[in-house]
Formats: sequence, C-alpha cells, structure tokens
Amino acid sequence: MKKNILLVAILLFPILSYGELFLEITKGSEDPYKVAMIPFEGNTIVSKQLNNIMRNDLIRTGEFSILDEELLLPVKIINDELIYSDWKLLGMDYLVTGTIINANNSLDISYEIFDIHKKRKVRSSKVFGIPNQIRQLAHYTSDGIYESITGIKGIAATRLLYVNETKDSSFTSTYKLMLADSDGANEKILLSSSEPIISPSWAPDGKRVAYVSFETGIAKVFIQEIASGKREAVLSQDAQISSPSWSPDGKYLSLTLYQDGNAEIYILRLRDRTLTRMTNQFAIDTESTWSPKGNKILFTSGRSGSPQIYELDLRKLNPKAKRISFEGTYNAKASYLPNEEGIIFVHRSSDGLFHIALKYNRENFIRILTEANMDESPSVAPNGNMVIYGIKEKDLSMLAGFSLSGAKFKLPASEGEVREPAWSNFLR
Amino acid sequence: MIANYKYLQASLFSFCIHAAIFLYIYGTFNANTSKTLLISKPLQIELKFELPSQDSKEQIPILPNTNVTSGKQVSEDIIYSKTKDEIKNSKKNALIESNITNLLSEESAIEINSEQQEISMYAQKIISMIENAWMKPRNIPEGLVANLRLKIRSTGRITSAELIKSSGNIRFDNSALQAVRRVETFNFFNVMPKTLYEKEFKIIAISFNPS
Repeated sequence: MKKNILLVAILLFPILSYGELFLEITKGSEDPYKVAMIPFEGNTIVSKQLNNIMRNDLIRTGEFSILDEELLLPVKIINDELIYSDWKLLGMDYLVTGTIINANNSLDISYEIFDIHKKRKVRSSKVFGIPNQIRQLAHYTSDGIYESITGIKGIAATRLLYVNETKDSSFTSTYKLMLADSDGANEKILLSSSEPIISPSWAPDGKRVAYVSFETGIAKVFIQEIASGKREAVLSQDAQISSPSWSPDGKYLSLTLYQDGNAEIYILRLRDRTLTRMTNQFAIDTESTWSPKGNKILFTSGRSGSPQIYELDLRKLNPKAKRISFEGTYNAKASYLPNEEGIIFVHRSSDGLFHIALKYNRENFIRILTEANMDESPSVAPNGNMVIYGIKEKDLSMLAGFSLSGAKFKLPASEGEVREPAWSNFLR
Repeated sequence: MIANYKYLQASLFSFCIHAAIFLYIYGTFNANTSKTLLISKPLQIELKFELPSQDSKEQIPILPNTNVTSGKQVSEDIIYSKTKDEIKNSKKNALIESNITNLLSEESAIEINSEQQEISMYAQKIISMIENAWMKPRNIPEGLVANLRLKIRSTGRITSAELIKSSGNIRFDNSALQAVRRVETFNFFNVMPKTLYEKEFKIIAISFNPS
C-alpha cells in the first residue's frame, strides 16, 4: 500500500510543480532604515523630551538610523501634499511628523509617517496619555513607528526587572528589586532587603513577579504583585528553593529545589501548590526556563562534568533530558527565542571569557554576540530582536543590551551595582 | 469483512490512479502555457537588449538566397577563421536541406523563445525592484526561505501578498512582506502586453532565498 501511495505521489508531482511564474530574490540590503524625525509640534520642552526618548528607542533597535537634528529640513507642504524630493535627496526612507495635543488632563500625540520612496503617508495614528507619563507616551509612539516600518511589534513600552546592590560607608549591602522602562529610566523599587535578592522573573501577564530572597536565611521563592506590593512565599518547605520561571500560561512555576542535598528541577502548580519532580540526577540541575509554547523547558546541568544546556519535552510521560549544547566547557542560563527557533545563553569561549551566544536549532554552530569578558544572565525581549544582559565594568556590574540587528547599548548607570535583568512580556 | 475492505482498498487505489492519470494529462497540456523556475541572476538583465523578434525576421528571408549569393558568402567567409567557417558551412547546409514545414516550426519556436525572453525581462525588473526594497535582517539563521504569492493588477499595483511558505523566522518573513509593501506598484506594467499580463503576471510567486 505504501508503494502505491508513493506511486500516486510521483504521478501527481509534476502537476503540482506547474503553475504560476516563480521568481527568486537572493539579495537584499542590510542597511538600517533611514528616518528623519521632525520634533513634534506643540510645547517645545515636551517635544524635545519626546524626541530624545523616541530617537533612542529607535536607534537601540539597530534597524534605524535617525537623521541628525541639525540636518533636518523644514517640512514643506503645498496643497496638503508633502514635498518629498528634498528628503529623497537626503537619502531618507521615512519621515515622521507629529503634534502634541495638550487638553484638559490628557496629553495626546498624533503622528504621521511618510514613505519618501512611495511619496505617500503610510501611517497616521494617535496615542493617548496623561501629562506626567511622557516617557510612556514616547515609548508607545516609537513602538508604533517601529511596527509600521518593520512590521514587527516594538518593545519600547515593555519593562525590565533587575537587582540593584548598594553598599553604605560600613560596607553593608542593601539589595533592591527594581522595575524600570525598557530604556532603564523610570526606576521603581519593588522590594528592598538587607539580604540578597536574586533571579527575578516576570509573570506572563506582567502584573506579578517571582524572585528569590534570602530574607529568612535560606533561598526562598516569593511571588509579588506589582501594583499592590502583596507578596508571599510559594513553598513553606525548609529546603533551599531558587531560580523560578513562569510558564507562559501563568499557571506553573519551574523551580530548583535542594531538597535532598542536590539541586533538581521541579514544576510547581500554583493553584494547589503541588510539586512535580522533573529531574533526578546526582549532578546539579538548575536555571530552568520555559519554551514560548510551554511544552518544553531548558535547564543547565553539570551531569556531563561541565555545565551544559539540556532540554526536557514536557509532552512526554517520562521526559528524558536531551543535551543541546556541545561547544566548549561552559554553557548556561539559556532561554528560548520567542519563536522557539533557537536559544540565547552564556558561553565560555576557548579564551576563557564569558559571552552571550545564540544557537539556532537549524544550525550546527553557535554565534557569539558580545565581546566583553564577563557577560552574564541574558534575557530576551518579547519580540526576539533584543537581549539584555549583565556586564562587568571596572569590577562593577552593569546592564547592557544588544539587538540582533547589530545595535549595542548600555543602560544608564544606577547607583551601586546592577545585575540579573529580566525582560517582561508585551504589556499592552 | 476482509473482502469488503480489500474491495474498498482496490477502488481507492483505482480512483487515485485514474485521478493521477487525468491530472497528469491535464498538466502536460497546461505545461505549455506555464513557466517554471527563473532564478535571479543580475547578469541576465543584459538579455533584454537582444531583440529576438527582429532576429527571427532577418534570419528567415536570407535562407532561400543562400545558393544564389554563394560567391559573396565565400568572400565573407574568408574573413572568419577556419573553425568558424566550418561551423557556418555545416549550419548552412543543414538549413538548405530543411523544408518549409521545418522552417515554420522553427519560426514558431523562435516566437515562443522571444516571449520567454520578454517574460524573463519583466521578471528581472520585478526581481530588481523587490531586491532594492528588501531590508534583509541580520543575525538570522542560514538557509531561510520564505515564499510569497502576489496578486497584481494590470496597472502593476500589488493587491495582495500572501505568505505561502514561512521561513520559520518572524523577522525574515516580515522583511519579505515589508519589501513587497515597499514596492507597492510595478510601474512598468503599463507597457506590458495585456495578453502577457493575463497569462503570466496576474499572480506570481516570489521566493526570498538569500543563500
């Protein structure tokens, strides 16, 4: 019977291959889009602030080059039609103009994007905000511009979690769990403690966070609501618990438990707090993260003698961990790209330095994406185009980021040290 | 029950075979009017300067005269090198022997050929317009391919772009769709013969394949 099907398939094949004209595109440009951003009309102070924030948002993506403000031309409009030729001469692809509308208790922006090549308005949109939330307004607008030009959702309006450590004059540390905008501005303290806080993790809805706090003397995982500040420990066991990671449906946490003196991965069902053991190994198993669909988890294990990345398929009844990193003697802290087409992780290269690396499933080599020497804790933005990670500069921990499209940036230095960033989901 | 099952299996098989034969024949007839893969090679663009329709008109009237003007031909031939001479002579002989029906069939072949070249000329224009508009994302996996199907109006305006095969990479797929959006209109469609448009360029498939 199989042979018969094969025969039919062979007979059918030539018919399927006929049809429409088929053209192949093999070359494209890798240059960023060139955009001219006219400062928005309205209050000049607000306009300047907006312009700065949006400019930085767009440059950080690595997909835009924004024309210097000094080089901007006056926007000529004749008979309601923009004069495109000047902008074409400047080599621009797009032009962005906008107006700030400040009306009773609300601050709105209406903006327009013009395609210089098509000589046409490609977007006209409005963002509603409140006066003391200019940053948010700017981020929404830059996400609108980004999406309209690239077709991909922007992440300027997403947020970051990270841990801040400051030392006072007597060298006692204070640890703070911080929340900030994707550009590091607008910092808020979620928790302050004299004991270490580590491994912050976002709930997929962006309304709660999980983290490890040593406030009771041992590592314990807490869940905290951002708005109310209400928090609770997820398990009352005496064992050390660490590295929480939220499942994409928000119903489970994967954790590392040191229950029998050895670190193993467990999955905790939040509804009734039942634990399921996922690994059983003499070596350390930790740093679990979920796949975007929630059917697999990645973790780091020392079972081969060096830290390597393993994958568990949760759809199977008794899943067996599959090793997925093979290059070098140290691969850890892995997380999936949003489309599950690859992983981002920390890799120690042959020169002994730690870098952030990317491995696509379909490729049999890794791509090293950073070049500092102590890069750690990468966290991937929800659109998969940016990664934030920890760096060491003059022995101080800081946060840096890069986009897969080639941009690199550092987050503004806070007081003290900053580490373990976690990028939220889309928040709108 | 077993017999019944076998009967069903046999009839299914027979149905499939008949369907396949029918489609196969249908397909071979259709094959004459449809084109297969054209791979973009920028060098091919130069092909458009050769005007095949003129060639076909020039070549054929000369042929009956070859006997009469042989003297002139020889003097011409001397200019060429020997190998070229031989080739030309053998070609000439072959042509003289061929009868009128052969010539006619050859003419129609040339016509098809010229249409082919016209298609490839327009195809090259489409390819270069899309290539100019395509911002290829960086740091994407190797070997990605995304296929789109475009519906185009006779004015050259793209009315729909449908992703028929995803590359699996959202940035790559989006850049392909975005490239087509940026092109929006193939402005040279207004000089394209209506029949050619109806036949070939109403719906086209485009493959983004940078490797």
